[in-house]
Amino acid sequence: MSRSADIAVAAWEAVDAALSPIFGHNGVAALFYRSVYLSSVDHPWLIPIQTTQGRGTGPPLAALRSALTQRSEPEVATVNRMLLCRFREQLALLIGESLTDRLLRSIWSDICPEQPMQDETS
Amino acid sequence: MISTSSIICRLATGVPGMDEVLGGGLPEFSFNLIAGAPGCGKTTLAHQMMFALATRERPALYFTILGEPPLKMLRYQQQFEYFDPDKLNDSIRFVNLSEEMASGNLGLLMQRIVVQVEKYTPSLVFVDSFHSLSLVAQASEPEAGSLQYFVQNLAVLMTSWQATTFLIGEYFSGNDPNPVFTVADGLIWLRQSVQRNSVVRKMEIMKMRGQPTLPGLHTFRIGSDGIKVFAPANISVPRHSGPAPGLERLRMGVKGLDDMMGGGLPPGYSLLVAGPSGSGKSILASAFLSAGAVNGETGVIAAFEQRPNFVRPAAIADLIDSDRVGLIRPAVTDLSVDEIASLLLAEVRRLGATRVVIDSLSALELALAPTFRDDFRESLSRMLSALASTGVSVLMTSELEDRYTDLRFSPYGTAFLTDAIIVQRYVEIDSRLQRVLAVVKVRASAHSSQLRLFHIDDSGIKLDEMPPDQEGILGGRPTRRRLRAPTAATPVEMP
Repeated sequence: MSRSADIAVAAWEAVDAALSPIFGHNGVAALFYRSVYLSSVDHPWLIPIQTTQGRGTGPPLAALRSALTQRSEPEVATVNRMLLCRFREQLALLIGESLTDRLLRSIWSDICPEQPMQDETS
Repeated sequence: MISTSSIICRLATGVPGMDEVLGGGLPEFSFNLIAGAPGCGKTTLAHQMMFALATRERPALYFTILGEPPLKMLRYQQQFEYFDPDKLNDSIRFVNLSEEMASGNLGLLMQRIVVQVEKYTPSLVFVDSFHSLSLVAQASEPEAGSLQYFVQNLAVLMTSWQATTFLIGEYFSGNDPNPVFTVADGLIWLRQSVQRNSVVRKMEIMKMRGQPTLPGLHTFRIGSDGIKVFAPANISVPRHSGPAPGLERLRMGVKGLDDMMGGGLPPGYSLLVAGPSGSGKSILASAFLSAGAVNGETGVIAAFEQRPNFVRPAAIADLIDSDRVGLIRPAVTDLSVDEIASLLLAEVRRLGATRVVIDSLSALELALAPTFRDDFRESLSRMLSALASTGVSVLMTSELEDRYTDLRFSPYGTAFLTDAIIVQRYVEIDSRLQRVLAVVKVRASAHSSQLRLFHIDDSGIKLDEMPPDQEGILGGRPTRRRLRAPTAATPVEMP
């Protein structure tokens, strides 16, 4: 089992835990699928994840894990960071930067240390 | 014994006008229903109250059930100024229960609510929306009165947790004997009333236990700062029945007119200036405000002329610029008199104004939503009483149709609502169109019965002497008085 895939899945679990109380698992899953869809243009190996849409509640972390474990460690880290950023962008488009920041602030530095919050000024 | 009865604290809702309508605020620990058709402002009302009321000491929980998806609700609600993102996950928590709801199990839903309430011990609880609950109740196994049982449980639970609770419901009709209605302490009904092309939002407090609510439908508006309710202006202060003794009368700003009115306008009076188009009503109104400014008084003018290039007299424009006269010029249509009254009263309070001008009643009526036109006189009377209770003197202008066969002072029957009346007319004298004015009425005061010619020049209205030999002027066709009247009545010719 790849360590990067574990980290990736743990990051999504943290996102789901932070946001699903507000938006519901379905709301988080919808944004997750949208991010996967946008990223699958460059990374077609993500497409299988999308076929699980509508089958359960919450982001399909099992499908994500099985897709990631077939890739190299560095690629997993890069792609997952891109997925997280896409997800954050999609959320910010809907509810605005400041609210997104507010909801994800506590977990973002742990799950995406290379990508500081955009409006973090202090 | 009154001293041992429980004291109910009332919460200020943070919605302007709403506390008055509720009869002094929202009773603490009450169980309320906000109902209305889609789009009538239920979620907005709930959010506005929540953001105003929630503090760290008084946290709020907002349960979203299968209503508006929370992603979109947060997207739209943050457009309003009351939305404070810093309160989120601090004094305000959103809890999504759509998945519990989808299971169709009201017992499970109640469990989840209890878990959250025990975890956060909120003082305010919102459940949005309730329509979806009743749908689930119908679909799930028909335990007798399952929804009523659920609501009753919820009400008891929330009251024992000392939480003020709001259920946000949809599509309810007032005739529908919904069990929720009997359980609720408060029923706040939101409506959109449609008449012709105009839509007006109205709020009704159908029930609020233990509160002297203001009955009736109260207009409200949703702006960028949220909901604003236009409660009927407070008219509890009794009107005085004559000129207050010891108070100086107000100068009208037209030389000679004060004498005609027995020394000026008694303070607190309302004066109707009626006349045909162009006769000089607005100029008289400007003179009235200027005379106040000379005396160090402030005023408020409500102008309803819709012409964008409307030129105000320079003197008034200066007073408005220097904030000695407040200008109320509603840019929106579909107004209600209560809304105008609340704008006027707020401006009177802000400036400490003593003089108010409404120019004109005719244009004001046009600016009203059709649904309010039928009640124009009633609401105007209420507005005048409210203004009178603040002690201001009001001058209103009114268009008067040119009619020479009868003597009219106002097309609305508004004349009796006012304390004083000045009428302006056109007359033909020596083949020229001339203006005359007369003081028709100054309640409880002597006044002149003269008709006076007047003209308007650069500095305003100038009273002139009447030609001594004219009569029948108000008929529009004065005749030269005969030098020697016939001594006996002319015999009437019978056919």
